[in-house]
Amino acid sequence: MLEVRDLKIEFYDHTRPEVAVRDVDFTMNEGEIVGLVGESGSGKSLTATAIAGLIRRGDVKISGEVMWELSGKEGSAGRFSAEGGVAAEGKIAAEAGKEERIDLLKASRKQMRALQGKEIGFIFQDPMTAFSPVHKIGYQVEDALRVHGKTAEETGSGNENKEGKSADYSKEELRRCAIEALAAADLPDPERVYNSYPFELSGGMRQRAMIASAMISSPRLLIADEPTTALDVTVQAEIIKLLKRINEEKHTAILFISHDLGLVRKLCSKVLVLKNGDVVEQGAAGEIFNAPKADYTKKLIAAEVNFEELEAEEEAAEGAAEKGVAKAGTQGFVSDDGKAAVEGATESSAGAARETPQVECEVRNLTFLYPKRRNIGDTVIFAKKTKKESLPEKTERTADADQANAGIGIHDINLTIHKGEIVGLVGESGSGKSTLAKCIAGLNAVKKDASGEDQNVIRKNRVGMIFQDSYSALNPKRRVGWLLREVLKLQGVKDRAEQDDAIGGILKEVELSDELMTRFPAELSGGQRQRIMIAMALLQKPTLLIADEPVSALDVAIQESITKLLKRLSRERNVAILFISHDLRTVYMLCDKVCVMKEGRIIEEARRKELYSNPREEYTKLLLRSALE
Amino acid sequence: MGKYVVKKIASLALTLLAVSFVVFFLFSVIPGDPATSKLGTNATPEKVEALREELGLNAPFMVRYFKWLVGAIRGDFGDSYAYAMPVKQLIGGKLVINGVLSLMAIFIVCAVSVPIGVYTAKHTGGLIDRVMTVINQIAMAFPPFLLGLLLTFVFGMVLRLFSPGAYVGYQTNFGKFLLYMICPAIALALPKCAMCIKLLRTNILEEAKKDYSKTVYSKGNNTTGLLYKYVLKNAIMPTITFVGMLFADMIASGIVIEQTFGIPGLGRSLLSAISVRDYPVVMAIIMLIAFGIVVVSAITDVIHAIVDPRVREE
Repeated sequence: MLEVRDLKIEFYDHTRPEVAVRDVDFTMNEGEIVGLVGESGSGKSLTATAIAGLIRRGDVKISGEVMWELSGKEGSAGRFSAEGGVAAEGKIAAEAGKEERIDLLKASRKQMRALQGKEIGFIFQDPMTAFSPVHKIGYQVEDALRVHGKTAEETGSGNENKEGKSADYSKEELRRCAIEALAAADLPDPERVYNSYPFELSGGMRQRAMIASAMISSPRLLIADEPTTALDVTVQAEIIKLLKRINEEKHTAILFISHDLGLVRKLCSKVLVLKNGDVVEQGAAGEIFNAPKADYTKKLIAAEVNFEELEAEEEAAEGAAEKGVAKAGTQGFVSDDGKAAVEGATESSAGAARETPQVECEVRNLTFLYPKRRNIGDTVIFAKKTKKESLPEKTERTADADQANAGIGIHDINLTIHKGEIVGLVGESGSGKSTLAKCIAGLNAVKKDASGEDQNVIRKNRVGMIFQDSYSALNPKRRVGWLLREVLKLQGVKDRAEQDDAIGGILKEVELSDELMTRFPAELSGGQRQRIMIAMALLQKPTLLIADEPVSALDVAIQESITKLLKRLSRERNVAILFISHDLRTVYMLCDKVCVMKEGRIIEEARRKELYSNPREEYTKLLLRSALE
Repeated sequence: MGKYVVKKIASLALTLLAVSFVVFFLFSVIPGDPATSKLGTNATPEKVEALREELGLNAPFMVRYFKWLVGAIRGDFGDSYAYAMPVKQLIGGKLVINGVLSLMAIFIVCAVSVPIGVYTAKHTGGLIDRVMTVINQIAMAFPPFLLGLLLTFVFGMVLRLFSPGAYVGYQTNFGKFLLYMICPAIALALPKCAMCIKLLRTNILEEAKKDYSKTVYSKGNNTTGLLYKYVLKNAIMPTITFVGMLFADMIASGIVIEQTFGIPGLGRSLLSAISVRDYPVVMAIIMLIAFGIVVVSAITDVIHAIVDPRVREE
């Protein structure tokens, strides 16, 4: 169906061409799922957008061939050959008999448009930005049908114009089709979703709507560009399941682009591994995962944590390891009741004060609620529903609304972090992880007692903070050296030589060279920026480091190196870390203790191994399953 | 949505109340006694006192304020000091003139700048885009009165489409009045058009770069579809705000145009009323302008809410 030959994409940067993708060759058959794997910047998205004709041709130079086999379906083949100009230019390679093929790279915009949204559907990474914020979901989902109209085959009449459009869909038909498509994407209450705006839906729902939008005209090829990267783990699993089902039911071929090998392994039958624009390896999924040939693939697969292996490694290491902070206080946390566990912990740590490290930070019965806000995820749909349907019973409505409002924030949190301990905080977005982190860091105003101290959060010494998005967390207009120096200045280190010493030392510690001092944040890679963030946090000499999803925006390999860095720093400097993540793998590699948050509460708290091998809560099991599958 | 509108109207009323109080307070404390200025400096203190009593100037401040406020709500702003006639009568007709002038100018701004803005955004770097950029620069820098003179010369004296300086009142002949107002409206609108085009073009280009444009293309839309179906609605917001602000600016920019074309409008009345300390007239005009601005900004907000659902939610 699709054959890509010698695809090469070059950028024109200051007249010097820069090759972004080189020699990509692969074929796709009807109903096949092909995975395109690689880190960001490897050219996988570029390849996909080039195939779908979504790259502005002025910006890049694309060479090679992308042969698309036109099916007889819906008269598209006839339409192309009917366009005299095209045939004359010889752009359609009319191959033997009925089989007609077209080179998508040489096709005119008009020809491409005829395929886009009809034969080729596209799903984007971030369903928030991929939808226009001011148009209703329904309008955007049905748009492909609106653009393409009905073909002659569908209307039963022979007269179609030269774009193959015989008649427009009526408003009612569009609506019906869109609602069907939304329902097919497993969206609950599709009619309501149809009338919603993107911001009223949760991330998972938006991605489902996106899939509905791409699938509405049953394309033969669905290109999914990192469709799950912006989503939570549990939602990821559902989306993958949906894609798989679509593939099975509709026999739609899927080109699945991802940096997540786990997902690719689950979904794809054929895999291409890209690195810096080169295909380093390709073949059947089983072969690649079981017997990778290229070093890079091996490295990628190795970066994927195999929990069993990790555990074995851990055990081997443990025997050799000295009695560290990690082991202390273990016994306190095995209890049935959450609260009792904490009480038990405090008791036991008090009892075993001789060998237990001091408490670094303690959170007691902390509740923090955001002021009324309605438009979060599914809540709004829920709220609307109650508004409409229970209008006479006013009391019920307000009660519902109050309940919905009360759910936003964190409730009754008890958490103890010991000195030098790495505590993982996992949960989906919106579960209150960041809110808790902000409360601990003192960025959220929490109730204070008479002496001006926080009642609920007791912390010792300094707290350093590392944010998820290092790009927006660093002032883009200042050089790295200035940024680091500022931290020292704020601490009263005035002497320049002293500052230089400190900065040189800290850069060495985070494994960066001092050459970076003169660069702007935008000139650094994501990993380097995050290291700078860590350096900045460390310069404050914290005893507790709060890392809010520090690696979520990074590639797998870099994730691993940053995680290792954090672990090393924690051990060397005896710094406690509160590590927030939705990625259970990273948490496993790093943390001593793990807390699982859901809907603003800590529902499970256990030592790492305990949690991973023997989770108590149903929700934790679900999280683990979706991460490990 | 309904709740949103009600909220807007309530805040609108409050704003106007505050403005009215500030205006009345300021004009009651600035020096210059209306009674003295009306009778001349030779008047005896008794006569002045009698007139003060007659004009109600001796009543306590709050009483005077409420009396004035109640009158103002009914459209009665008292009598002009300079002309012995009600303010209402004096400025009522001018309100119509300025209303028509402003509406025409705004209409021209919208009618001209939206298509040109979209077109130049679609064909960025094309010949027309580049020519328009130059024209825009010139139009923005061109003083309105000079533009007015130029238009008068071209349309009035060369093409003879109207007779320059021969203003026709709307009461006499509404058709001819409208015809006469076209040139002033164009003169008023042209510099604003240039700004509006530039604003819209920039916003469209910015929106078209966003991720959703790829989604739109991936469904088989062409650039026209992208722009008209999706981008325009996203990009139009700042332009709506801008047009709303134009309304506020119309009286001020109108003063020069009124002079150039010999139109007896509000701007002229305001100037002459200020120069002779005809406070009731000045206050009435200020209140009318404030009313206009507040209403237009409220309307702008409501339009925003209609276009962008996110505004409605808080």
